[in-house]
Amino acid sequence: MLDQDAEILLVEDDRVDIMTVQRALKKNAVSNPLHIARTGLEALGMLRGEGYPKLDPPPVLILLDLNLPKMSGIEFLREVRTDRALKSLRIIVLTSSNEPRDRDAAFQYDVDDYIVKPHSFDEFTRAMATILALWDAD
Amino acid sequence: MPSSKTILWGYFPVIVVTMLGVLMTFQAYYEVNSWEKQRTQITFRDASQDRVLVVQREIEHTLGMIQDIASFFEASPVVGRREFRKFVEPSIKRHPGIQALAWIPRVTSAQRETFVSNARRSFTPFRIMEVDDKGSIVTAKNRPQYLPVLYVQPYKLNKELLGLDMALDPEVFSLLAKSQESGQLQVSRRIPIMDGDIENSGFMVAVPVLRKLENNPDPDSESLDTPRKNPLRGFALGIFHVGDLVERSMESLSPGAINIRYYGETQTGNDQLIYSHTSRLPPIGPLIIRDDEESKLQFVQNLKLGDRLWKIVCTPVSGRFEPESSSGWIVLTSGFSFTALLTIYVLTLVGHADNVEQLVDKRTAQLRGAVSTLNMEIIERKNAETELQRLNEDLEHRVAIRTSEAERRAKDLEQFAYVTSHDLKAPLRGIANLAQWISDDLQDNLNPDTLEQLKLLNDRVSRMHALIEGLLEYSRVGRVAISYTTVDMRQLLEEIIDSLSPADTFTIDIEEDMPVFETDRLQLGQVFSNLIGNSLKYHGGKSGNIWIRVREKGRFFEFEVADNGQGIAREYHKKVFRMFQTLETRDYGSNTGIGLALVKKIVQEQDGEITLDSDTGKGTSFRFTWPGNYA
Repeated sequence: MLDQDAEILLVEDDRVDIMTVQRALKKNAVSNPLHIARTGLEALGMLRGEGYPKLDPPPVLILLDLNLPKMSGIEFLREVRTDRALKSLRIIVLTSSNEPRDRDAAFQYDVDDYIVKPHSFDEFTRAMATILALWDAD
Repeated sequence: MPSSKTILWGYFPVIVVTMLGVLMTFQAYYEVNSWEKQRTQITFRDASQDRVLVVQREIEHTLGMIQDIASFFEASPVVGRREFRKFVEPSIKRHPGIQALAWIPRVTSAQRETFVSNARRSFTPFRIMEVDDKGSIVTAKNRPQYLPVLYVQPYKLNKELLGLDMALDPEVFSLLAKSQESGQLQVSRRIPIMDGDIENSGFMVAVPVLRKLENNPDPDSESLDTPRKNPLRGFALGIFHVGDLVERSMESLSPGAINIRYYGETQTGNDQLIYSHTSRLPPIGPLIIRDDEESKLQFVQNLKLGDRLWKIVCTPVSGRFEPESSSGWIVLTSGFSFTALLTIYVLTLVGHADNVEQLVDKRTAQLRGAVSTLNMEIIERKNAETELQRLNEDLEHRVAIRTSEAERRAKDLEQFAYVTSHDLKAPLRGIANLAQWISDDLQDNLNPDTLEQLKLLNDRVSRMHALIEGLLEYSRVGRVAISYTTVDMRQLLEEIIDSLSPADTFTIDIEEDMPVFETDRLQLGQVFSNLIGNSLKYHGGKSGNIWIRVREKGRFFEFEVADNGQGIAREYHKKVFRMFQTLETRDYGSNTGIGLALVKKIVQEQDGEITLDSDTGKGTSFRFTWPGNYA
């Protein structure tokens, strides 16, 4: 089980998608603090202690959408993986894109998982449960 | 076509030849005539000269005869009658022109009686006579001196002369006086010699004979006029008949057709016709009277007789010594004939040349025409080739442009389809989630209608989701790089069938010899998934059979998915492969109308073909070819 106080960072710009994650976590009875960054840039600011809130210690998990304004998920990944302090962060891509191109690009930056957002909320919730379950196993 | 100018130039040689011919003919005619004339003149002159020469010789001979008589007397102090006769007789016989040859001594009155007596020894009736006023011959009266004719030969012709005192004849006396004065031979003017009634021309020649003083000086001697040193003894006198003399000389020559006229000088200095010799040859043809002095053929030469000159004029007998005009005519005729022939020949030549030239012109024109036609054809062909090449290039260019355009558009479309469907997915999912949450949160407070509506909303969202997924799949074909892996067909088909979760009432029969080969697993799986899915979905019956078969076709495999379902009416066979084309109502499950379009696109992308064999109630069979190993 995930540490109670361990913080999770969700990088997502769509409100419904944010709600989807929140609801799925809640349905899976996960009450860990969830920080939300609306863009990749904002997320980077949080991680580097330049923005608000300052995430220190860094989040145990980053849920990353790829289709983001200003700085795309892939660009964010590149920034993180080339940052000495941040490159070992756990990142799971949550995207609606099933494109092999995006998938390949994401795995190129050593993401921990690549989840295509399921169409139905129930499936999404199951997918989140799987992620957290896998977390446990780790 | 040769111009008229060319024709004129073509006939130029003919004109030149003709003119030259005529000119040369005339020239030749003139030359021949002139030469002929000259030849005639030369012939005439030579003949005339011959005649003059002969006459001159005769006359000289005649004059010499008198001189001889004089010399004879000079040599002999005493010459008897017989001696004289013998001396002159041969000459008289030879020369018929001699009228008389006489010796006329000078006798003074004192010597008269002695003289007469001496003369009577040889001629008894001799006496010195004179012609009185009545014309009768009488004995001469007493005068200081006498010049009687002592000897004369031929006697018969001249017997009346014997004894006649010549001093009284003015004509003879002047001649004798002149000869005594000069001491030389003198020739008289023309004298008439009567032959009956006919008057002939004659002339006299006198040579004085002087006494030899050293031998026999004569104290009594007195000159008649002036001479004193040598006392005069007498005169040798000759009288000549010009006609006979001339004709005699002409005898030595063959007839020459030349008339000769002899002119002497009168006292007034005019020419006096002495004698006219008419040629023995008669005139020929019509009498030619020449008015033109220049063309008159005539030879004139002076003949010297002592101190006297005779003019000899030779003229040809009429019709004789005419230039041989026939040769001129021959030349003229032959010249014209030759010119005519030459003209005709050259004309023929020119005609030939003209013909040849025309022919050459014609052929050249034809050739030129052919060449120009050929050139034009070549140019046309080249143009056509260039045009064709240009068109080809243009076409290629256009095709390339269109192709690239089409490719670009296709890519744009695919990109659009992808982006659109991708971007549509997120809000659709949002809608689905929101609907889900509404029904979840208000589950107990919702009336059945609202719940039904929420369910319908969910269904529509699901269908839209399926559509978007289909579009995405469709647009992904050919856009995504093919990844080859070894595919075990049986295993792949079993996985697909498992994912489709068919009802237990359906049996799916997979043929035994399914291949294992290198191919794009994802794409091939998509095709089968759609085809098998369709068979299950649209079978129409609660139970059914599906057969999956394969056979090799060249380097391709031909797969078949067949069922014993309701089948597809023939009129829909083409339609089924079209995008968004469905044969069922839209409410029916996740029927998007993309499936078969996607299948066809995938198959075609692999260079394969897909065919449908089906009819209503006879089941459906899809066959498609798929490339074998790429190794």
